[in-house]
Amino acid sequence: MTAELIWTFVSFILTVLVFSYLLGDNPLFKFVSALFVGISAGYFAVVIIYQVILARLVAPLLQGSLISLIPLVLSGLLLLKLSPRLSRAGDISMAVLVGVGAAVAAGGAVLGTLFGQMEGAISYFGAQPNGTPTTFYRVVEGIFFLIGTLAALAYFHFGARRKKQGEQRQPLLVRIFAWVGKIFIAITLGAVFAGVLTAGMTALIERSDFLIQTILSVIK
Amino acid sequence: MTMADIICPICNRVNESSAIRCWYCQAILVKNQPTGSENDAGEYSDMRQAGTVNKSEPASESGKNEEIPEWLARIRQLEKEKREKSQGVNPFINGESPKDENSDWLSALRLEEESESDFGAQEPERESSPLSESESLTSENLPEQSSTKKDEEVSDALDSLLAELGIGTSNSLDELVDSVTVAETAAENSEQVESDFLERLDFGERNESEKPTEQFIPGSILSEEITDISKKSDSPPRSSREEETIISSPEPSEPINEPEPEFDFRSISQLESNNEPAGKNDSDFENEPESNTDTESAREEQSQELPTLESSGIIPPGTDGSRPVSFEDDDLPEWLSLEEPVSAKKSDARKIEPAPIVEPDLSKLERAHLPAWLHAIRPVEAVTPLQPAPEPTKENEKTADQGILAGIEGVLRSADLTGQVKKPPVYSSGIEVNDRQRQNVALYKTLLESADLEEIVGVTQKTPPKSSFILKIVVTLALLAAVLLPFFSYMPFVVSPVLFPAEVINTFSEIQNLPSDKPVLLAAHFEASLAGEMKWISMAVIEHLMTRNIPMTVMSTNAIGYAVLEEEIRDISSIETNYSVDDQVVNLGYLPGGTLGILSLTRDLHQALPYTTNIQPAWDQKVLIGINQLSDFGAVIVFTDNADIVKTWVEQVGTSADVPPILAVLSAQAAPMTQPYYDSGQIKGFVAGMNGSQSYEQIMQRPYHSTLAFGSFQSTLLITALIIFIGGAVSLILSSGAGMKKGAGK
Repeated sequence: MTAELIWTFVSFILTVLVFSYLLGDNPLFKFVSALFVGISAGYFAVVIIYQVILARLVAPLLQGSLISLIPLVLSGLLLLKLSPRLSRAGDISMAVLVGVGAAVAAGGAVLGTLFGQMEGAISYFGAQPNGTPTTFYRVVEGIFFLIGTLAALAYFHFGARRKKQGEQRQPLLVRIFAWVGKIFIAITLGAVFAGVLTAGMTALIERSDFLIQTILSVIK
Repeated sequence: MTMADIICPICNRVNESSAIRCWYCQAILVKNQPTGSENDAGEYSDMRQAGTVNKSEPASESGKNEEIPEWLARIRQLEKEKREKSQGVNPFINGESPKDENSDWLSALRLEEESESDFGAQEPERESSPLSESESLTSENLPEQSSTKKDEEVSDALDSLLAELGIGTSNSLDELVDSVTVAETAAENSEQVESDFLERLDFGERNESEKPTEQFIPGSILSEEITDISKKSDSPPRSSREEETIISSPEPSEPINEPEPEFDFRSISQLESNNEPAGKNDSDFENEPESNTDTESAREEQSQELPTLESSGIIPPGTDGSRPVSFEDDDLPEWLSLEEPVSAKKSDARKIEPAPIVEPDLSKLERAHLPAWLHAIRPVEAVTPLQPAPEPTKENEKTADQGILAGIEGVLRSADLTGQVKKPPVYSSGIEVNDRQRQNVALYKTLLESADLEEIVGVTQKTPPKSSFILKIVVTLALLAAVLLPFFSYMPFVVSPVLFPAEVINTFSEIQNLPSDKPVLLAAHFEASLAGEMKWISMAVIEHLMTRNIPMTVMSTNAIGYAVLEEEIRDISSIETNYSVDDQVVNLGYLPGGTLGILSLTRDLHQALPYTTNIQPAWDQKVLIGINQLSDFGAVIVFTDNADIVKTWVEQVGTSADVPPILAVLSAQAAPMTQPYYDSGQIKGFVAGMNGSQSYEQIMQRPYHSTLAFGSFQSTLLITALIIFIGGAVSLILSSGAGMKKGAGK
């Protein structure tokens, strides 16, 4: 019995145990869940030690890289978060992580997503990215995208004017766009849900195929 | 002395029957107290018998002569004759101011003080310091000229002052002297009797220590003043030395004209405690001015003897020298009188052997009496322990520079609590409930009362009905059938797509156009739960790279991505045998940092991924030679199940000036949110889900797992759509039926 066959058998058993959840929550499913969590934690620890600490902290220090002392100090301060009395010392590391991360994410969002999507929306009314001239279909598609974008933004606009009777109502145009935007948002969320469902069905098919192929291989 | 006179139990002097307090010591007099020998009972009898003055005679026989000196009797007689001539009625008793000429001196003094003459200008601190004020009344400072009118005004003012104080009748000049002294002292202390009590004592002690020669002796000073005033109207001004000796007989005038001996309670206490004569006191007595030549011999004898408390007049004669000075409760502040037992204990604690009593020549000595000023300050030393004043430290000498004590020296420093003081949280003792909350409470109470709790609990504890379990089993079986049946029978209703998605075609074109000498960076980021889907989807793309013999560099931004991807590459390499994984594939492992890690790839690629998973230098590998930056790769292919990872790669890497084409292999759930980045041209193409993978395989004309399982995929989706549709319809019917029932019930 080869190692591959052993691991195939283990995978088969574990897959069946997971499918046992169809009959309700049971100890077998809980066992598999606990096993998965434990294996994941151990695997992550090994990866962190070998791929991060040794490769990116210890090795540079042994090579005389003084700049590696900075992450060493910050890591040490971050470990102080475990102590309630000294947890404030770890705020420095947290501040660096959160501050730098937020700055990088904000800059990328503006330059990569906001400007990129604006440029992409405009491209429907002009030349295509590959340089070919636009077509009527692209213009209509661009108009459709533009209406959908404005309608979705109008749906999230909650401002209203106070009228003489004291009633607060949004302008008629905003209400119309908000109603249209609600449809676009529903379609988008439906598409996301369909994608998630499709991914789940694909996983089910892949596991079912694995079981069938394993059984067939055993039978043969 | 008449039978109506009252003898003071403290100083043992004779007072008139109408007097409430002793004119000499201000002690409270007992009206029905027997005189003479009748008064010699108990403690006072012992005191008098043990006294130095009365020691030669029995106390019972010492009624008149020993109490009133001869000079005093003569002065009283003169005063009595004058009063009989002028009024015949005691003005003090009637509450009227006496019109005695001798009492006008005080008014004159006050007038002169008010006019702020040169005399007043020489004493700028007179009002603030009782010592200076008293010094201004000495005979040396008195003005040279005084008229009879001024004397009368002085007398009127003095009488009115005495009447206000309720001192009583003054029958003699000596009594007047003492009364004026007492009146001044009482007036000064009337406003701050209790509060300034200790302060006065401290002031006196400090003055004694600082200016030992300038003692405040009101009795002697005032006697000199009165003597001077009484002589001013009859004779030209004389020297103070002559005035001191002119008014009285030699022996009795001695305690009046001479400055009172300086008594230091502290030195006396030390003297008592050490039980040895103090040379300092001896020297003080030696330095006393001698005004009477008749008493000089006795003074010399006395100066060589140790002054005792009795001889000094501090305590009444007859008391033991070690015994602490007793106080009248009326003289003490309330708080001090309450503390008297404790202080008495303390005094007893300090009590040691008494000082030896020296036997003076009693026949030549006039019995000392307690001056009023000394009487005013006497209690504190007796009732409170003598504690040396704390020496000011440097810290105490600091001057406050802020706050309400700014500018005051010797302010104790307090701890700086400004940083620690926080406003305490305010907790409401009651619950504030508004109308809406009351309505909710009432509604909740109504629900609880109307509902059957047992029924509710029974519903929650009920196991799910069998119908739901059956429904779950039915749905499961339907899905399994949809999955498994296509595997065993080639169902004719499977429709393969004819039109391929544009993003798949673009992906194929990009990979097809990649140079074979440039490695491709495969960046993985997906969870283990979707590893099966990612394996099927990515199989066609990876095989395409292998067929083109393009080197691959594997890395991941999560912990498991690179391992799953490398395993898949090795699985596919078993199919594509011409591709050597060991030579063409380098696994750089896990890139930590998330967004920052991806950004670091554009900054310093070698620093971001320094080692392979085998802890070997990454950039020394054959595949990666010549790769110094991200643009040196032929393409970046992102394998992920999360659209945010694609977005991050686009935002951090796609915005760089020189960037390779970005492609994506996605899970089906990430496709919708990735589509805009493809439409905007920020990624060149992507393959998403079974549809995209099957299309890619069709383009490559290599049916793999996606093509083989595509029938199951379509049937499963169809069954799932049917289940959703049927479930929605049933739910709609049930909800509408329930609504109709509610409407019928109403």
